[in-house]
Amino acid sequence: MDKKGTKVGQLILAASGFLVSFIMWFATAAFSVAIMQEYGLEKAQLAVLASSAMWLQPFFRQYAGVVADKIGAPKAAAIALTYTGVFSILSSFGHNYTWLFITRLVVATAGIFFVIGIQHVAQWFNKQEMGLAQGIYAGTGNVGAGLGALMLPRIYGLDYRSAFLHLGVLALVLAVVYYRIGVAAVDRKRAVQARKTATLRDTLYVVTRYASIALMLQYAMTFGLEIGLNAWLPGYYRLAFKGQFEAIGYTSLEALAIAAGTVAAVQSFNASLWRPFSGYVSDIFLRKKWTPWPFLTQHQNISPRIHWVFTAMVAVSIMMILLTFAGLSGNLTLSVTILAILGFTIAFGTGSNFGLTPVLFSKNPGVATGFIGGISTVGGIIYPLVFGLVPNIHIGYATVAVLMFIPFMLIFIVAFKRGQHIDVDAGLGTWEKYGVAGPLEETKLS
Amino acid sequence: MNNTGQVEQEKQEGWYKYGMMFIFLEAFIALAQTVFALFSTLSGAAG
Repeated sequence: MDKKGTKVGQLILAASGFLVSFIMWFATAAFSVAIMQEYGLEKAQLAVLASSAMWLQPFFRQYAGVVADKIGAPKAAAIALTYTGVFSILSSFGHNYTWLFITRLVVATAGIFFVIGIQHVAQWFNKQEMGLAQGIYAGTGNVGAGLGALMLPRIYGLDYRSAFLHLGVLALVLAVVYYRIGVAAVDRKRAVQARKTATLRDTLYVVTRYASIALMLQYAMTFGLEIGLNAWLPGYYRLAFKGQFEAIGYTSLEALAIAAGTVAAVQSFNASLWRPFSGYVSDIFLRKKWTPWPFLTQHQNISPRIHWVFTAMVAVSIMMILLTFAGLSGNLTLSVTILAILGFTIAFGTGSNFGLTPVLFSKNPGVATGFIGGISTVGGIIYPLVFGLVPNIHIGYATVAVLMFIPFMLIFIVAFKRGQHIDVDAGLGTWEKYGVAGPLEETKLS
Repeated sequence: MNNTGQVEQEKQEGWYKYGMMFIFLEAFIALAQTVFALFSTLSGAAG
């Protein structure tokens, strides 16, 4: 029996699933103060707990898109929401750190919902409206992290067990709703086509193209950074600005947790909510034919979108260095203001990427999305570790910008350099060698 | 088919217009949350 749905209805469903998944994903970070206190964790242990939220993302996300193509997004979403909901409930029981760590590790795989939802939305909207649709989906869903940091400590105080239990139940309810009213694609033909292109050979071919690698690194320094900061920032503000918070009057552990969570959410809210706006700016770049960077490709129709992506990379790097200086100054207001602008620039990066990726890889959008959205989350694992391991807690942001982001930008320049036709098939080995049906070049770069 | 296409196009434009409004609503929420976070935290009300 065929189910019917509307594109706006399916978009709301996908965004709702993503929102709940994101709240669950980062609920551990929202209660980092309570967990630190209960189990007596040190700064380095907090960094490990924060980064563990990302450990399983690269592997799971890579295949989540393929699974969504194979069985349809509603079934894939129902499965993801069910098992993460069950483990969230399980994490609320038990009283030792190992149990909590392992169950929360599984709950954190809720982040794979991003790829499932992207695939779901892609199956319902056409090319002309894809940018805005994906922007609204991802922008609304991503705000779950900020919402969790802002609201969970207010609702539950230090009682993280109740929060985990209730979120688990909510995920189970949503799994049923998703399964009942979710429709895999706008028509049967589109759903069948998605099933056909989800092959291992296609995946291997796409992930070895220089363009996909450059875009993956760009997404690692924007979305990877966003999720890394989501996990890291509540603990950072609690530790780095403890004196300032106490001077204002936040002396109890619970008050500190709420205050730190409130300022940490600034990054997440800005990085999430400005994301659709970035797609709009990408359209303006295209319309005005803006190509400000002389060393990047200039004369193809899609060149302005590439320039917008690179502009965002530069902006993120600058703001990371400024966040270090703001932290070193000890000025909480300045730090939060810089953090808000950093979130703003991160949104430029994430939004601009998915204005470009589906166009460059229009033959295999699911596979490309799974790779770019999946492997890039490794950034979310590495950054909190760097932030926690450098001797001065403020220096980590500039360290990551200089040692990682600048090389990423150089790779991006090489992949999309001036004076060269954008060759999406350039990479390790030819399409014949991989045995795929044909080159990606058939794609219209418009 | 053409007629169907035209109706579809009109629907798309309507949806897109509301999408644009949604963009600016989200941007407003982001700004409001930033101001709220700064004021509530610095005034001591956040805890």
